[in-house]
Amino acid sequence: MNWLIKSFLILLVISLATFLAVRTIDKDNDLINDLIVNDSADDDDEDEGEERISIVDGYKALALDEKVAEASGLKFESLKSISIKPEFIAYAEVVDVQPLVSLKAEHQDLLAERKVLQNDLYNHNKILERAEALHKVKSLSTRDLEKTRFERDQKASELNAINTRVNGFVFKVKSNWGDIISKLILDREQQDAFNEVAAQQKALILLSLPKSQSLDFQNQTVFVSGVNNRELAQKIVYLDQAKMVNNPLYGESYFYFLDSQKVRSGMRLFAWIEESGNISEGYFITDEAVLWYANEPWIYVKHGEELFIRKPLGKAKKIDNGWLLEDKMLVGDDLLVTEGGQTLLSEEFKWAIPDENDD
Amino acid sequence: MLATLVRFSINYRGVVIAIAMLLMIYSVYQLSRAGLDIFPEFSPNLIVVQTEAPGYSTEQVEVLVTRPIETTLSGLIGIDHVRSESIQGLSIVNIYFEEDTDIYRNRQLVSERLAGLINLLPEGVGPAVPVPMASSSATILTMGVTSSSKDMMELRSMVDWNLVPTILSVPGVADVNVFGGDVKQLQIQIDENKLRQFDIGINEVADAAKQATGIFGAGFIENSNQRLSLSLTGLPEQIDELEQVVVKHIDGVSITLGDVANIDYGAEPSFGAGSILGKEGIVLMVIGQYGANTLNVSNAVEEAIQDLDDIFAENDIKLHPTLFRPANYIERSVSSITGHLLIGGLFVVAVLVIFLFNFRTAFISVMAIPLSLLTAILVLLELGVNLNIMVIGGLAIALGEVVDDAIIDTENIFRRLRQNKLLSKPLPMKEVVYNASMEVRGSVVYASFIVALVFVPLLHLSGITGRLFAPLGMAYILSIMMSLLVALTVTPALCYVLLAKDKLKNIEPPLINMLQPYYEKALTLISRSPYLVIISTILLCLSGLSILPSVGGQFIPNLREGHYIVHTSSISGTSLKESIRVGNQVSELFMDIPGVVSVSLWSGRAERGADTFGSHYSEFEVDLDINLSGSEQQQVLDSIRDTLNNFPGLRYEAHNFLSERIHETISGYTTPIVVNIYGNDLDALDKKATEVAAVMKKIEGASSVQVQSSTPTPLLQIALRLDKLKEHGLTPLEVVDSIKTGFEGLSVAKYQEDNRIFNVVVSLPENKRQTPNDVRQLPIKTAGGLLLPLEEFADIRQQSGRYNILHQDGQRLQSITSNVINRDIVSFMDDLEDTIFAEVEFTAEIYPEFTGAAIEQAKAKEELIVLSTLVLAIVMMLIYIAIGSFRHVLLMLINLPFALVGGVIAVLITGGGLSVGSLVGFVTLFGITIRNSIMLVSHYQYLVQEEGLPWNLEVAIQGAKERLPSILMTALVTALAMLPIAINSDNPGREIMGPMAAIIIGGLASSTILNLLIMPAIMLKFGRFNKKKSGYLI
Repeated sequence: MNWLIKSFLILLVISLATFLAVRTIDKDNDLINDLIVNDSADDDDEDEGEERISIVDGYKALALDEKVAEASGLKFESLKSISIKPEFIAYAEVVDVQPLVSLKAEHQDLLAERKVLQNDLYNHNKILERAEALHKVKSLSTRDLEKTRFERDQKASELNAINTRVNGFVFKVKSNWGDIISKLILDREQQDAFNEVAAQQKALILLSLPKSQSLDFQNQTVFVSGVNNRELAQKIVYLDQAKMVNNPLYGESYFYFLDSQKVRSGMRLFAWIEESGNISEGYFITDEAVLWYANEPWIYVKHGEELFIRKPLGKAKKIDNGWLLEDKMLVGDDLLVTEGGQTLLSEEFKWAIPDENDD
Repeated sequence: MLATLVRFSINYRGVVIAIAMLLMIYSVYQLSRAGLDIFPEFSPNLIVVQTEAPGYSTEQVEVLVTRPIETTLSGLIGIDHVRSESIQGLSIVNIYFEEDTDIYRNRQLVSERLAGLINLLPEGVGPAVPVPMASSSATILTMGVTSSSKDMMELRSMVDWNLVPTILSVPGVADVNVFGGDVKQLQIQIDENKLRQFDIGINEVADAAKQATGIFGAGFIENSNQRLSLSLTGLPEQIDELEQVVVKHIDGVSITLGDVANIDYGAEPSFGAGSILGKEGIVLMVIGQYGANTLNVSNAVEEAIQDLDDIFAENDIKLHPTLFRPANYIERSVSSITGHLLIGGLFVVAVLVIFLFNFRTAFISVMAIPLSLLTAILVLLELGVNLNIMVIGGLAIALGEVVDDAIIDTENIFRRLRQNKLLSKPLPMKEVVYNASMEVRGSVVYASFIVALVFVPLLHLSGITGRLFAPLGMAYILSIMMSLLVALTVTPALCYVLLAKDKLKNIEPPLINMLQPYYEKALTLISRSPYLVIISTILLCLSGLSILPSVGGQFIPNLREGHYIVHTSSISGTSLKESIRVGNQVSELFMDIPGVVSVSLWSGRAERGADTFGSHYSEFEVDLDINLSGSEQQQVLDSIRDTLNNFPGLRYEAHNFLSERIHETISGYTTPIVVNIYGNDLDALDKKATEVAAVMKKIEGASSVQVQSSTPTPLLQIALRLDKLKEHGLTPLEVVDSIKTGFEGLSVAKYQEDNRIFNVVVSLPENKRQTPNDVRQLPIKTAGGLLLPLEEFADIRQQSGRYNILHQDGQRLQSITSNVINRDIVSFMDDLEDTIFAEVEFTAEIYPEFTGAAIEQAKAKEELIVLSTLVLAIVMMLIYIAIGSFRHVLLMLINLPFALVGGVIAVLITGGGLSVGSLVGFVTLFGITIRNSIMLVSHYQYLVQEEGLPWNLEVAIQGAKERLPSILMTALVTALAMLPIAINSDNPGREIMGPMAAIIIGGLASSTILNLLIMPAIMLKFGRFNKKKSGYLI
C-alpha cells in the first residue's frame, strides 16, 4: 500500500509542478495575446462597414443612419443651380505708343517730301511745255529743250521713288500693326484718335491668349486690370488682331483700346475673357465638398434619408471657389455634403484603415 | 548560528529592541522622502533616434536618412536588434540593446556615432537626435491651453516661449510634446499671378529673400588700445521693410518683394493639432525622464506653472492643468490601499487579541508588521528601487504573512512560559524563552524560506511581465526575510521583556477553549474513515482543477485609473482639419457620457516626438470623475466603445493608461505566428508576402491571416519630363527647388522679436497649397525667362504610395501574421515551414524567417519550467530538511491542490479572470500552505521525538489541538489582512492586489480546513514518526 501512496503522491507532485509551470507561462503569454486580441476586438465592425455599401445607379453608396450622420457632424446643403458666363485669365500689356508716333512722323515726312516732289514735277512740266513752244518757233535750241526734258524726267523719277517709299512704308506699317492700327497711323481722319493715344488718354493694349485658347472678338468681352482683382477690371474695346506677340509661347494676340489714363506703357495687366459659347448652367460645387481620390475629384451627395452617394466631378468646370457641374447626374433633391466628405470616404474604405500600433 | 542569534537577542534584548526602533524611525524618515510611481520601469533597453526630413517622401527618407543611420549605428556593442520606420518627412530608428546593458552607456555610444553622421545626411535633413529617455509611464501630465480672445498663433507663441521652458526647467521632465496651435513665422507668400505679371521666378524671390534677411554677427576691430565689436543693424526685419527688398530691376524699375508677394505672419505647416473639450486649443504632454518619479515631478510641474497664473489671467488664457494626471491614480491608489492596510492591520490585532487573549503577546506579534515592512522598504530604497504600485502590492500581500513568524514564536513562548509556571521547579525565564523560540525555529525558518523561494521564478520572468512583477516579488521576498529576522531577534527579545515578568494567568483563551472540544470531536470522526475523506478530497481537487482551464484570463486586470486613452484612425490622407473636426464631434459625444469630466485630443504628431502618426490619427484623453467606482468606470468605457462603434469612418482602440503603455512598449507582432520576408525590392516583397499569405491560409488551423502591408497613402506624384526640361533649358533641381519652396516652404532666415526667434519662410499662400490643380499651375521660370505652369514639365497624377517602410536589422521587411485555432502551434509551425518552402520560391535576395510570439513563448516557457522545477526541488528539499521524511514531504504536498481548489473557487465567486496577479496569488498561497503543513507535521515530530509520546490518535489530536491556535491565527490574520483589499477589488489601487487577495483568502480557507481536519487523519494513517530520528540539523 505504501508504494501505491508514494507513487501516487510522486505522480501528483510531478503533474502539479508541470501543470503550474506550463499554466503560469501560458497565462503570462496568453494574457498578452488576449490583451492584443481584446484590443483588436474594439474594431470588430469590418463586416458592418461592408454591409453599409451598395451600388446605386452605378455609383457607390453608403448607408448611414440619420442619427449617426448627425452625430458625426456631416453638413449638407441643397444643390445650387447657377448659370455663369465662364471666363478665363490671360495676360495683356500696355503697348508703348512711341513707335507708333515715330511711324506717324516718318509717314508724314514721306508725304511732305512727296508733296514737294509733286510740286517740283508740276513746275518742271510747265517749264517743259514753255520750252517746247519756244523750240517750235525756233526760239530755243534743241539742246536746251532736251536739257529741260531731262530735268522734268528726273523729277518724275524722284516722285516715283518717293511714292514707292510711301507705299513701302504703308505696307510695312500694315504688316506690322495691321489695318486698324495702320489707319490710326496713316489715315488723316484718324488723327484725333491717334492724338488721344499719343497723349495717353487711351491705352493701346496687346492681349495675348494662352496657346490653347481662341478669341471670338465679335462676341467675347474682355476686361483688364493692373492688379489681380476681377472687380476692378475695365472693359476694353477691340481694335484688331495683332501681328506680334509679347511671348513666343503665347497663342493668338489682339489689340484693344483701354479708355484709361491710369495705365502706362509697358505695364502688364490681368485680362479676363469670357469664354465663347453659351452661358453654362449647372450646379455649383463648393471647393470644400470636393475630395480627390484615384486622381479624380469626387463629391458625396445625400440621396434620400440614409444614402450617401459618391459621384465623380470629372466633367465639371473649375471656377472661382468651386466647380460648375453641368452633368445631369445629380438630382435636384440630392443634398451636397459640404463638410465631412472625408469621413464618408473613410467609412467607405474602412477596411483599408490599419491598426496604427501594429508597427 | 540561529541559536546564537536567538540567544544574543535575549541576552542583549535592550540593544536589539533599540536597533529595531532606530531602524523603524530611519525607515519612516526615508519613506517620507521617497517618491511614488505608478509602475516599475518596464520599458525595454531602447534608444530612439529621430530625424526630421522635411519634404522627403517615404522612399527617400528610407534610402537617404534611415539607411545611413542604421549603417552608422550597426556593430555597436550590446545591440540586440534594430527596427526602423520611415514615413514621409520622418525617420525613426529604434535600437534595442540587450537587457543587462547600461542604458546610459548605450546612449553615449549612439550619440558618438551619430556625431559623425552629419555629412552623410542630405542638406536640410536632421540632425539625427536620440529622443530624450522617457520613463515607462512616459506621461507625467497632460495639460491644455485655450483662449476665447487670443488666436492660435498668439497662444502657441505663449506656450512655446513661456509655458514650455518653465515646464522643461523642472527636474525630471524629459520633454514636452506640444500639439496644436499655429507656430508663428514670417511668411513671404508668393503671388503666382504677380510672378507672371513681372516674369519673375519663385527661385528669384527666394534668393532675394535670402539676401535680405537674417541675423548676422560682424566680428570686431582691434587696435593697440581698443577692441570694438561690430554690430549690424538696418537689415530689414519688419514687414514694411521686407516689402522694399528688390527682387529684380526691369527697365530702370525695381520690382520688390512687396510687388510679388504678400508678406505677413503666418502659421508653419503643422504636424499636429489639438482640441480641448471640443474646442480648438493646445495640448501639452509632459514626458518624464527615465527613472523620474511621477508623483514628485507632477507636483513640481504644478508648482512651477503656478507662477504663470497671473500671465495667463492677464492674457485671457485658460489653462487646463490636469487633462490627465497619472499622479491622481497613484494618490488614490496609495490612499485606498493604505486605508485598507490599516483596516487589515486592525483585523490582525483583533485576531491576535481574541486568540491569544493577552495584549502583550498581541503587541509583540503586531510589532512584526511595521518592523518587517519598513525595513523591507528601507532595503528596497537603498537598492535604488522606486516605490510603486507593484512594490506596495508586494508589501500588501506580505502583510498577513510577516506577522505569522512572530505569532508562531510568541504563541509558543507564551504557552511554554505558562506551562513553566505550573512546574514545581520552574526553569529560568531566559531559558524558557530561548527553548520555546528554538522549538519552533525549524518551522519558522524553513517555512519562511519556502514562502520566499516560491517567488523566485517571478524575479526571472522575462519581458514586460518580468519587469512589471519582479519588484513585487522582490518586495514580498524582502518582507518575508525581514519578518524572519524579526522573529528570530526582536520577537524573543520582546517576549522576554514583556512576558517574562507578566503574571501569565494560566487560562486558555476563551475562543480556543470553545473551539477545541468541537475540533477534537471532528478529528475523531474523520480519523474513523480516512479513506473516505481522502477519496472525497481527491475528487474535490480534481473537480476544482477541471474548472481552472475554463477560467478566462487577462494580462493585468482593468486598472481603474479614472482615465481612458482612445486612439482613432481614419483613412490615410485625412487632413488635420478633418481629424480635428471629427475629433470635436467625438469629444462632444464623449462629454455626454455620465462620469466624463474632460476630453482632450490631439491629431497627427508632435514636432519632436518619436511617434510616426499621420494626420489621420488622433488620440483622446478621457478623464473621469474621480469618485467613479470600478464598475462605473467600466460603464464609461463601454459607452465610449458604443459611441465609436457607431461613428463612421473610424477605427479605434480604447485602453486604460497601463494597457496603453504596454501596447506601446511591446514591439513587433504579438500574434503566435509571424513570417517575416526580407528583401530589397519592395514590390517583390509585397508580391512574395501575398503568395505566402495565400499558402498560409490553406494550412489547417490558420486563422486571421494578414499581410501586414504598409498602409497605402494618397500622394500626388510629380514625374518630371526631362525632354521638356531640356526644351526649356531647365535643370531638374531648379524645378524641384521651386516646388519645394512653393509647397514645403523655404526657410531663408531667422528674425528676432524681443528674445524670440522666428523663421522667415518663402512659400505660396495657404489657399494656393490645397488642390492638385494648385500643383499643376505652379509657375516655373524657364531659361528663356518665361513662366510656365509645372504641368508643362511634369506628369502629375494622384497615386497611392507607401505610408511607411519598415526595417529590421537594416533590412526591408514584410510580415504575414496568423493566429492558430484548434491545433497546437508547434505542429502548425512545422507544417507551415514545409508547405511554404515547397510552394513558394525564394531567392538569395528574398528569404523568409519564421517567428512569432509562439517561438518566443516556447523559449520563455522552457526557461520557466526549468526554473520552477528547480525551485520546487529546492522547496521539497527544504521541507525534507525541516521534517526529515520524504513520506511526510509528499503527504504535505496534498495541501497544494486543495489550496488551488479554494483559490479557483474564490476566482469564480469574485467573477474575475486569471491574471498575472492571480498567478502571484497562487504562488503566495502555495508558500503559506506548505508553511502551515510544516507547522503541524513538525509539531507532531516534536511531540514524538522530543517529548517521547507514542504516535497514535491521541497524540495526533493533541498535536493538532496545540497547533490549532497558531494555524488558525496565521490563516486568519493573513486572510483578514487581505480581506479589505479583496472586497470590491475593482477599484483604484486594488485591481491587481484584489484578485491575489481573493485567491489567497479562498485558498487559505480550503487549505486550512484540510490542514486542520484532514491532514491529522492522513498523517495518522500514512505518517511515520520515529522517536530516534530528528529532521533538525541545527
